[in-house]
Formats: sequence, structure tokens, C-alpha cells
Amino acid sequence: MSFKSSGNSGAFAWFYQRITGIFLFVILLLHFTIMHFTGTGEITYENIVGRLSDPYWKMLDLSFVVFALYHGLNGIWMAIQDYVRSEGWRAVIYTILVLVGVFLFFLAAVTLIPFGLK
Amino acid sequence: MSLYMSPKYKEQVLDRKRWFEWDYKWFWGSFAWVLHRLSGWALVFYLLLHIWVIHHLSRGPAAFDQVMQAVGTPLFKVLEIGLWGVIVYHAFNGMRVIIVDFWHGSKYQKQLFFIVLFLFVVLWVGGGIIMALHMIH
Amino acid sequence: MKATFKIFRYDPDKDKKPYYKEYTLDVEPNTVLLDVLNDIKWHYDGTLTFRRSCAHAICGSCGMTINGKNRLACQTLIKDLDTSKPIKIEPLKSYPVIKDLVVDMNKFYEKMFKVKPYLVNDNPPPGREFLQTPEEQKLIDEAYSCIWCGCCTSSCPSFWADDDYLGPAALLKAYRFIFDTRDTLTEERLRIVNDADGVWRCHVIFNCVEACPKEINITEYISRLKLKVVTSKL
Repeated sequence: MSFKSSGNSGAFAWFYQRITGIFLFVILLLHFTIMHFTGTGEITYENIVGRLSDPYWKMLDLSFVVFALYHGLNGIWMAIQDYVRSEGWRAVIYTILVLVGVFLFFLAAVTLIPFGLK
Repeated sequence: MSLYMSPKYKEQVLDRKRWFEWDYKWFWGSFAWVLHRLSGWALVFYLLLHIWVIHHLSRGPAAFDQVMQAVGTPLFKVLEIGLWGVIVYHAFNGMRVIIVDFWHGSKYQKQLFFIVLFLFVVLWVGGGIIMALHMIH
Repeated sequence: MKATFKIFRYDPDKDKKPYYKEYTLDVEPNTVLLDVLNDIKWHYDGTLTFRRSCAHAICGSCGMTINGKNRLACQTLIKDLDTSKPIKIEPLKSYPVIKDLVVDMNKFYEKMFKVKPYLVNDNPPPGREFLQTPEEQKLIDEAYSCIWCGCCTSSCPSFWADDDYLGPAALLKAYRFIFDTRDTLTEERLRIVNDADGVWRCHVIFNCVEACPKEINITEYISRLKLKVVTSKL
């Protein structure tokens, strides 16, 4: 037996890696286009806060963060499972990945949620 | 008892296993996979940095402007053009993997990879020019 | 035509380390590499050791890494290789070497047997053959031409990284029985491949397809297995 994420064979990770991938394909390319190509995304405090006050933008950005973190950290976990054979190291790395994910989600949530709620 | 079961097995065979066989012939599929992995790692590190930078929004306009100034230097702008290339490659090769896994695309995996490379070059160069123009203005 | 063959040599009784030995000899462009190896063994150097049997690409004995690619020596023509440089011949990558080009295939076979490579059907015999429609047969038509040569598994980067991975050959074998309408052990077989060291180690790199001497589209069948596992779980 090898150390596995939440006792799962990898079916869940494989399937949702692809589902989040399709979602990210659309939303990430859109994000990059708005921020860098169309000139509508002047990156100033007021501009961004204005957009984040819109609940739809807020929800979109929040789900974007969740999907991106899951996809990215799960991808790293897949690569780690290929090359790290030691159970101990696997457990350590898995814990670090989960902590990093939770911490960054927390950072993103406290940034995104408060705007426009006052 | 077979050789494999014998306690002397380890002494009697030569272990040639390496974690990666660098001198094995490289095919299009192996290139696609290695580039996908490397771009994936790069994007995760960028994502961590990105969330860290943007989270300064919650500390008010002054803190945000300060951090944006730090990442607004020409060096970061050029790196952003590189980031666009990494995103385009990972996104389109990811679509190729999904087509292979979900829609029986493996017969056309090489053609799909050439399409990925074509889109990568076109979108990277096109997007890079737009970003460079924005930089100059 | 002169050609040089740079062959991996290792004798556990004499050599501390493996080395390459070069043999230069006259060859015809239409000769298969196995005949050249036989020629070397019979006329130049009797100590050269390699496996061979049928010489017709059906026994799967003479799989080796030739110019960095896994293939059968008996279906590789000299004219298809670059003779301007020495032709490099090694034992199959990643497997332990017993002597020269002979590798230990035990771990490979162990995995082949792990997926139960035989038909299981406990239904009462119908008194005649178990019939299949042509469409049902077509699903496994290509998959059962596997000759167990081990070329695919030894070419797979996931297997290089982790030799506990079942590998393309065993997964192809699992596919061949899971998608066989006459087999009744489907559930258990799906459980065997649905493992961290099973089907999820495949990252669609396609090295196995490039290596397969029977030109089986192994990755396609592994992808179908993944979908089958996922859909039967949902």
C-alpha cells in the first residue's frame, strides 16, 4: 500500500483535473485577455475594487481561485506520486500542499469577499 | 526456485533503472508531456505569487499601489509575456490531453500536438506584440 | 556494405561494470538485425548472449533497445537504421540485466499475471462457442495481438520513475478482458486497474505506442479503461 490522497485511487483526481482544466481553459484565457489585451483592465485599486463589488465578478473570481488552486496543487501531487517513493516524504509533501492550498484560499477569500458588502 | 526469488538475486543482476532514461529516443508525445509538466510547475509558482500580490488589495490602496509598483518594472512586464506563452502552451496541450482521454483522440495525437504548437506560436507572438505595445505606451 | 554495431556487454561473473563492444562487419541492407546478431555470435564472438526464438515477430523474445528505441531485433531491417554511425544495441531499458542483452522479465510477468490474463466465465457452457457480434469482437481485435515482449512497458517514463506501475502491457491485457463480452470478472478487473499504481499512472505520453512492434494503439485502450473506471464509479 502506498500513501494516497484521502484513501482514493486517483480516479477522482484524474477526472476533476480534466473538469477543472476545461473550466480554467475558458476563464484563464478570458482573464488574461481582459487584463492584458483589450485595454479594459487598467490595473488600479479603484478599477479592481469596483469590479469586485459586483457579486457576479466576485463569485467568478472566487471559483477561479478554487479551481486554479485545486488544478495546480493536484497536478503537483500527481508528479510527486510519480517520483517520490518514500511514504514519509509523500505524507510530508501532501500535508504541505494541503496547507498551502488552504492558506492561499484563505488569503484570496479575505481579499475578494469584503468588497461591496459594507 | 527461480533466480528472481533467490536471496542472491540483487547480486546476480545488474540494476540499470534510472528515474528518467535521458538517452531513450524522444518522440513528439514525450516532448508534449515534459513541456506540459514543466509549464505546470511554473504556473503553480506563478499562481502562488499572484495570489500573494493581489491579496494586498485587502490592505488598502496604499499597500496595493506599492506592491503593484514593485511588479510593474519592465523586467516583470517582459516576464509577463513569457507567462502568456507558458499559459497558452499548457492550456492547449491540456485540451489535447482531454481530447485524447475523453474523445478517443489518440490516433490523431501527433496532428493534435502540431495544432497545439501552431496555436502556441501564433497566440504567443500575437499576444506578445500587443503586450509589448501596451508596455511602450 | 560495412556497418558497426555497438553492443552492450555485461557478464556478472567477469565484469564489474557493463561496457560497449563494437563489431564491424559486412551486412546486406535487407538483413534483419537478429541475423546480424546471430552472425556475430556464430562467427566473431561466441560469448555474446541474447534471447531469440521464432525470428518472426511472434514470440516476443528479442525485444531490445536499438538506437534508443525499443523494438524486436527480428523485425528491424538494417536499411531502416542509420548505418553512418555505430548502431547502438542495449538490453531493454529499466529491467535488471542478467547478461549482455538478456534482461530479467520476472517483474514484468508478475504484473501481467496481476491482471489475470485469462478468460473467466462461470456461466454454464452454452454447448457451443460463446458467440460475439462482429462489433463486440472489434473492440478487442487489436488488443489481443500483444506478444508480451515488454517493449512498451520498458519505454514508459512512468515505469522508469516507478517500477511498481502496472505498465502499458498489463493495462492493455486488462482492457482486452474487461471489454471482452464473454468475460464475467469485469468488476474485479476494474478494481485491480483502479489503483494509484494502476491506470492513473498513465500520462498519455505515447512512448508505448511508438515502441509496440505490433503497432497496437495502447494509449487509446488505457484511456478507454480510465473512462470505464470513472463511469462505473459515478
